[in-house]
Parts: sequence; structure tokens; C-alpha cells
Amino acid sequence: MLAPSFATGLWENLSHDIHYIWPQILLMVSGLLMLWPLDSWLLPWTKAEKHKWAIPTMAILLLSLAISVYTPNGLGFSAMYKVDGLTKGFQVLCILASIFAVMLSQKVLGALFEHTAEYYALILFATSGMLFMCGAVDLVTIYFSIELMALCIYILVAYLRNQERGIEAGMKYFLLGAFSSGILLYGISLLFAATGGITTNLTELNQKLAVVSQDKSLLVYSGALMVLVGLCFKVAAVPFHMWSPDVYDGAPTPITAWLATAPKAASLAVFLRIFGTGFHSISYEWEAPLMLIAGATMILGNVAAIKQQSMKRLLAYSSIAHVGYMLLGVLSKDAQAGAQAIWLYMLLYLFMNTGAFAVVIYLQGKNEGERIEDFSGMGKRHPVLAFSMLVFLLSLAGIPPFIGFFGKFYLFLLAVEQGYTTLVVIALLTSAVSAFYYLEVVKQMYFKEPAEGEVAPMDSYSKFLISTTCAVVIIGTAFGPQLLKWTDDIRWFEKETPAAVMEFPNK
Amino acid sequence: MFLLFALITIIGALAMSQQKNVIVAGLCMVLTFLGVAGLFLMLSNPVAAALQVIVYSGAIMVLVLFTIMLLNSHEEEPAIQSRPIQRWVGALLIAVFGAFAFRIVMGSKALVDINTLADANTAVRPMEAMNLAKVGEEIFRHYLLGFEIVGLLLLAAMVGAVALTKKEL
Repeated sequence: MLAPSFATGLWENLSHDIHYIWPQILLMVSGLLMLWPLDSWLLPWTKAEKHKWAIPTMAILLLSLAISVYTPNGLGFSAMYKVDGLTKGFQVLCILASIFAVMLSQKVLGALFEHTAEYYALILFATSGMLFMCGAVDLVTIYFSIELMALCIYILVAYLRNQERGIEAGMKYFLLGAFSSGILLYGISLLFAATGGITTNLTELNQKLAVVSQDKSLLVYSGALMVLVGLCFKVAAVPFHMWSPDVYDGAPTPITAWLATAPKAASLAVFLRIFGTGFHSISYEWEAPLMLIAGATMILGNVAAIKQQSMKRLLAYSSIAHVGYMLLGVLSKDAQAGAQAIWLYMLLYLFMNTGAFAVVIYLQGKNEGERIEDFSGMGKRHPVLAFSMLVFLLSLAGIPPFIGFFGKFYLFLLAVEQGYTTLVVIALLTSAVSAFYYLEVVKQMYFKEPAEGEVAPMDSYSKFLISTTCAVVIIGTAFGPQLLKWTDDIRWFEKETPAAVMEFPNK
Repeated sequence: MFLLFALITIIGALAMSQQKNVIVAGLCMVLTFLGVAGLFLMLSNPVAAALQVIVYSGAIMVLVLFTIMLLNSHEEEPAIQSRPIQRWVGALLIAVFGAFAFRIVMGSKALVDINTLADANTAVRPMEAMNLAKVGEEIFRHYLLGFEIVGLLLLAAMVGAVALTKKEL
């Protein structure tokens, strides 16, 4: 009796809203094809090299980038997935980061003879998980897409499985990640129970949480706190950052560059979704803990970075600190402005960070670049490279003429407008601290005698990447003041959200 | 009835964490899973209970025990003593958290409902029993997108397992 109607219903459900998720479907299907028929049949037949997968992967990612920009706005899959400015904006960031990671991978993988279809397929799967995260508006979809992304990343971190460091990093990340997912899930179930066990949809949850009875406030509080903790783990905010330096150090360097950008962009989109729309009505529950976390993240990330000897660990701590700044945007009561500032910051950070990692990867090709001392005298050995590294580092530090300054400026301005003066003071002080360790590297590059070493040729991808990102950072500087105006036109949240925000003003 | 299953679960979990022998610890985990299955039954969700018994106490435990035995590391290992302050802080946190959880559980209206339901059988069942057909409907209608994502997740896990363990790709 059920059978035909059920099948047609299923088909209708799938096909009705499928236009919202074409980018993800493209990534999934091409990843699948890459794994099975193409890799084992097509490659031997055409006698192509294994690393030829890089170009198709980039093409697929570029295509999905184009599709995701032109996806129509709307809400689909029984209100589980939503396409709006926030979705598209962060999807673009994630896909860009993945493209950069694939480009950076070429030299590293080529040197280690580890070119496989699995590597690229996992990157595609993880990217599709991130794209789902950006648009998920239901706790169920959010949780599953986080897991999809995280699982692929665990594997990619441990990908160089002949190196003990990589395996250790992957194992650490996996165990702690599983633990934090458990906490996230527990928090979700507590909130689900507190609102009567009816809905996991964020908009509905927001309305229900606002009127939840007094005897359940403990349930709501612990639930919201656990969700916050679970998400903070994903973006490596202090005190849940323990995994990050080890993992960044042990993972293959292109994956590290990717880890510092793409998953963070996706997780921040989830942050904005959950705390901007979902738990807006109970912001008094999570505001204080989040403020503490943001403050601690900025302080510890920057202070711990000073002592680092390894360049990858230094960049890991610096990325922790940058997350601290971005959490300021999550705290913003004006979700629209918060999303805008975070998106801008993340975009600029993506370019600066990828550029810096590209330089590290280039030096690694000669078994250097791991330690900060390896940068000594680079100003003489590779003037162009040293100059671009200088640009990236100064920009990361947020020193005025460079583009990183504008990202920080807008973010801090917003936080001051929202009344988080103490946090902004901390942010400014810690930015000054961060300038210290970034300039330490600059000092090594320009004022130290070079170590012995010959000039190695660069592969075309990293050359391209370094020069483009450097160009973006420098040219972008000229347009810095206009950046905010341009992104003003993006409507981050669809109409219903401002309405919901107005309905439940903050206490 | 509720307290019985809850106690089985908690005792199983505590025994597992205290156990030094890995295999016995694994068996204690089965006890916990069975207790949870009983709790699912009381929530009139036989599907979840059956899945809990079959998948967790059956399949996953067999896998875990096989792995432990194959790895051949069931000799007792001297546990590394953590710093006493950590132990005390941990115990304190557990006590506080446990007390709060206990208060919530004992004070909740649902517990009263469940108990009256189990003891006297007079009250009307608070909710319909979950059955497989309904689970299927929910998965393929409302939670369709989540279901698809989980499918891809499992595939990615499989690919990863192969990629990480194979000697030469």
C-alpha cells in the first residue's frame, strides 16, 4: 500500500529542492567517480600519471564555485537547508581554500610519491561537508555535515602514514574530535529535550527557547554551553585548542594551510547560524562564556606564539589568535554586521595565510622552513620570496598599510559599537604582541646572515599562488576603505531572521 | 523500573572505567549498552532498543573484543598515575555535575509519568510506540538531507580506512 506513494514521495522530496545543493552534488559525484571507475580503469588506459588528478579536481572546485554563487536563495529539504548570503559567502571561502590546498599539494605530494585519487576525493568530500555546514539550519544537518567534514580531515591529517608525526597528529585529532562531537551531540539533545522534543530547526528552536519554563533553565544553560564547547573545539578556541599546534605541526603542510582556513570558515558560518539565529533568544546564557573564550583565545594564542621555534606551530598559534578576533564578530548583537565583518576578515585571512604557507612549503622542498631559523638571510637569498613573506606577515599582524589592517579595523569597530570595549582593548594589546613574533621572522629574514644553501627552482603552482596572494594583499590595500561598502549589498540572512531578532530583543 | 535500568547503565559505566583488564572492561560496556536498551524500551521506542542490542552490544562489541584479542595486549599495564590534584578536581566536577543531573532527572515530570505507566498501567500511554515504518518515514521524508550526508560520511570513512591501512596505494 505504501510502496508506490512512498517511492514517489521520496523522489519528489529529492528532486523538489535539489537545485539548492548542486555544488555539493557535483563535488560528491565527481569524488565518487574519481575513486572507482576512473582511477582504476581510465588511468591505466590513458597511461596518465597519478598526479593528473590535481587539474580535474581544481576544475571541479572552480565549477562548484561558480554554481554556488548562482544558486537561488531559498529554504529547502523540510527546512533543513537554506541558501542565503551567509551560505553563499562562506561557501565561496571554503571552496577557495580547497582550491589553494590542492595547488599547494602538488610539490609536497610529488616529492613523497603519494599522489592518489583518494587524497583528492577526500578533499572533495570534506569540501562538500563544509558547503552543507554553511547552509544547514537544522541541528541534525549541522551535526552530520560537521562530522562529514571532520572525518575526512582526520584522514587527511594522517595521510602521510609512513611518518610517525603524521599518524600521531591524526590520532590525537581523531580522539579529541570524537570526544568533542560527543559533547556537541549531548548539548544538542539537552536543548532538544528542553524545548519539548519536537523540533531541531534553528528558527523554531529560537522561538521555543524564548518561552521555555523556569525549571528547565538549567537544561537550556548546560545544553547551550555544551554546543558552544563542541563548536569551539572545531575552531580551536582556547581552552579547547590543545590539539591544534600538534595537529598543525604533524599534518602535511598543504593540509595545515587548509586546516587553518576552510574548516574554520565553515565552523564560523555554523557559529553565526546557531548563535545568530538559533540561540538568539537565550543570548544571556552564552554571551558571558563566549566573551571569556574570545578573550582567552586572543591572549593565549598570541602569547604562546612568541616562544615557538617551529614556523608551522607559530602559524598554528597565530590562527588560534585570529579565531579569537573573529569570535568578536559572533558576539555582535547585530548578526548582519557580525557576519559581514567575519566574512571580510576570513577572506583576507585566507589570502594572507595561504601565501605564508606557500612560502613555508617552498622552503620545505629543500628540507627547510620548519624552523624559524631557516628563514635567516632569506632577504638575500630569495629577495622576491622574502618580500612577499614580509607582506603576508605584516598583513597578518594587521599593520596599517596592509589589507589585514582593514579586516581587523572593521571587526574591532563593530565590537566597540556593540559595547565590548574591554575585549577590544585586549584585542588591540594582543595585536601588538602578535606584531612582535611576526616581526621576529622578518628580522630573521632581513638582518641575519644567510645559512648555506643553494637556490632551488619553484614549481609553477606555488609561484602562481604566492604571486597572486601577494598581489591581492597589496592591491587590496588600495581598496581597503571600500571593502565594507561593497559587502554591504550582500544580504547575509534572509528576511525571516531580522524579524526573529526583533521579536526577541536581548536582555 | 526506570531506576533499575539507570543503575545498570551507571554501574556498567563505572565498572568499565575502573577495570584494568581490557576484556572485562569491554564486557562491562555490554552491560551499559543493555541498560540503555532497557531505557529505550521504557520510552516506548522498541526500534532503538532492538538496534541498541543488535548493533552495539552485538556487532560493535564483537569487533572491539576481537580487536583487543588480536592486538594481544590484554596483559595488565601499569597505569600512569596522574597528578592527585587532577584526580580531586575531576572527582569534584563529576560530583557537582552528577548532583545537578540527579536533581534534574528526579525532579522531571516525565519520570513520574514513566513510573506510573510502568507500575499501574492505568495512565494512557503518553506517546505512541515508535515502529520501523515510522522511523523510515521520518528518515526518508523529513530528515532526507541528513540521511544522504550520513551515507557520504560512511563512504568517506571506508575510503579513509582503506587509504590509511593499505601498504601501497
